[in-house]
Amino acid sequence: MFGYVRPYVPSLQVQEYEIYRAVYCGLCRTMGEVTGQASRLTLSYDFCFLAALRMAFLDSREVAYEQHRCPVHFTRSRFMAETNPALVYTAAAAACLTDGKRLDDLQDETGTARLKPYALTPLCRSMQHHVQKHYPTEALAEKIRNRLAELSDLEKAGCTSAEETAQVFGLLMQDVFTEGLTDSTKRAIAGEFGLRTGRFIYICDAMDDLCDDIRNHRFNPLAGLWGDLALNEEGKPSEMLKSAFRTAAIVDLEGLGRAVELLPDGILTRILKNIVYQGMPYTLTRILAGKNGNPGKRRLYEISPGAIGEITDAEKQ
Amino acid sequence: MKDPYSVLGVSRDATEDEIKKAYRELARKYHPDNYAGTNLAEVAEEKMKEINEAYDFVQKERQGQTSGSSYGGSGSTYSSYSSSGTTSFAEIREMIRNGRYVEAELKIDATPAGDRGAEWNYLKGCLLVQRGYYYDALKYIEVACYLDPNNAEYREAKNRMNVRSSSYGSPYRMNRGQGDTDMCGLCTKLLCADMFCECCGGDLIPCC
Repeated sequence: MFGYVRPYVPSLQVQEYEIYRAVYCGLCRTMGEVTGQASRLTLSYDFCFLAALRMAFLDSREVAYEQHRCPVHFTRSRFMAETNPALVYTAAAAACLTDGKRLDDLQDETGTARLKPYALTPLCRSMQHHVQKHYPTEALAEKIRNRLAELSDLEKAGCTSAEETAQVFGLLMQDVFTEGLTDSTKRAIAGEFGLRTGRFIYICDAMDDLCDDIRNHRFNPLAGLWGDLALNEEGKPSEMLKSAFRTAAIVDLEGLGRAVELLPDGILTRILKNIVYQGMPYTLTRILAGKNGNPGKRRLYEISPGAIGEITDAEKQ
Repeated sequence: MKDPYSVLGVSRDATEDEIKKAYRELARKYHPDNYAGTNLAEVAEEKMKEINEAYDFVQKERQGQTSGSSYGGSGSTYSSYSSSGTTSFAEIREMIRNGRYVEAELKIDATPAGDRGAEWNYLKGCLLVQRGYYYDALKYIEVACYLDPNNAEYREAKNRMNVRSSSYGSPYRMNRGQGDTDMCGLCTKLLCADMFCECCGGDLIPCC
């Protein structure tokens, strides 16, 4: 959805990077099968994170990788994860979330911004139509709608607590991450992953859009909480806000750190550890530096000397 | 925690007999025997405990020995509920220290906007940390530091939070790639190799 949850590629091993790409491509391919070819456009790194997590829970016999050709990169075949239950579920969940977001936008947005949810309507219809053959999504879609409605109510009421809104979004992601898991241990781990990831994504998005939202008088949880102290004289996020935001976001990442340590050993777990320990802190650094947290699909990373070191050095002071 | 007088349903200036009567009435109503075997047994037990504690407290207070009571020894807390006006942050601190967070939170939220200075922000932040509301808590602590930059206590709280987050992610792959990768080691090894070659009559590095 937002692309804040991605690995920090420079510190991945080559084989880990290959596997990560294979999961990404496998998810894209599976989305083509499960929710229709057009749905592949809605793919994002956040969904890939969910897919990697759900695949880490699968029995190793269920996970296989194979060379395939893909219509986008037709020049040479790529290594992809074969369709498995985790990927099918992720594709279904992605369809539900995209549809939920569309309905939410349709309610909240005004003016030209309304065009986007309208344009997405036929795509969402076709995705919902396709997905029913592979995975029953009514229960999940219902849960997502309820959470989004709750969130929308809080936003309309002008909620001044960033925590409460972030928590609702966290709970939404918790529903998405745990749906369909029966084993109680897996549910607990996935639940923690979902909650923390959701909160992280929500707050990062709020921070990213802070200046725009204030300029356009739109709801923003951080602006609501901080009021006049949100921006400094130059109209940039104030140092106080940045410092508080960073520390609080790291608390969520610590929760993810605890959860990732409980996963079974394996290459997917190592990738998840990279995302949790380095990729997400890197997203934070980018956002705090005022760059968009989402550098786009093509630039999976930027090699900047001491990109991760920057964080720790700044903290030592 | 509630006002013991309101738990018993009597006014502050009720006579000894009135209090006793109210207590007996309530005790009969919530007696565990009435609830035995139902789903509400636990709730009733809680209620009964509350009533007993309130009665004990009132009795002791009337005999002028409040210090040893189970209410944290601060009988003044209750009277302060009725007396609105200036906020005593010391009192809120006392509540936080004794773990009475709900009470403290009610009190802090009731503080009039005019009294919300640095200390108010700091205490509000502490209470939110207690609840795990970090996004909100950090805001109040930052604002406290901003309003009173010289206060060591507020700075200390802020630093504690920052230090806690600073070590995040550092254990990741710390034990990898720490072999002999530095250049000094490499040079030393080359020189050693050269020396051994020279001993044997050969030469690895011609210039030395």
